[in-house]
Amino acid sequence: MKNEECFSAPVESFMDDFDFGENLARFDKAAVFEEIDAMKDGPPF
Amino acid sequence: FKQRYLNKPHEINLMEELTLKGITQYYAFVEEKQKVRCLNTLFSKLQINQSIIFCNSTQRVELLARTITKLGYGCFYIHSRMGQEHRNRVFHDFRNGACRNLVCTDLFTRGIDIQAVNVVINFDFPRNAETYLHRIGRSGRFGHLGIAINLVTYDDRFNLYNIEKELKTEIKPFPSKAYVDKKLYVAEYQMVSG
Repeated sequence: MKNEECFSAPVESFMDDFDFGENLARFDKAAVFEEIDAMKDGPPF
Repeated sequence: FKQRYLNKPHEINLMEELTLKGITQYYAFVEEKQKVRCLNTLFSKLQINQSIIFCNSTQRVELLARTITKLGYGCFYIHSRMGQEHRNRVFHDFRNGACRNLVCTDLFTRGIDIQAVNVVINFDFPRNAETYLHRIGRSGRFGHLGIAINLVTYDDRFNLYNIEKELKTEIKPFPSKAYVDKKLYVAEYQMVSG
């Protein structure tokens, strides 16, 4: 399943430049880590 | 050396011999379906002398090696289901510079000691700190500058968190605009800068 997602697209579709900035903007590492820190004290309910 | 190799309890010591010093570590946030495109962009933007690309399964090593070849880059691959002799030969040829890129699973138990490798890419992010250190870390003797780039998906967030904490290291976001300072990983630029 994961392999299909990763490798099944035609090779030409891999040629365009990957936009690092746009993708990084979708993952706020500090916020995600804070969330994980908070989980260590148990779920909030 | 043999004794140490055979004696499992010493594994912790081996880990301590590996260092992340001199290695600048980056992550790129990706979806599974963007990984190959991301890798292709890295190939085209970075000044790679030699690179090692890690996957988490033998099947993915083969799939990726095939895809990289289709993209027009040369690559070798090795994984644990190949015979030891075959593996040794491929690794030997790679070490001698016969090919620029090597795709593999976690076969290195002592870190990579090839001077020419200036870029390591975790196509699949490892599941624990020990694996991460074995992939990226250098033994003190061979320690030199290089970069490591981790392709991180949302599912990898817990592993990213644990590995940073456990190794007391920081994996920075990949510089999207300026790209990477060549001084951090290209030998000629290191000499120029003195």
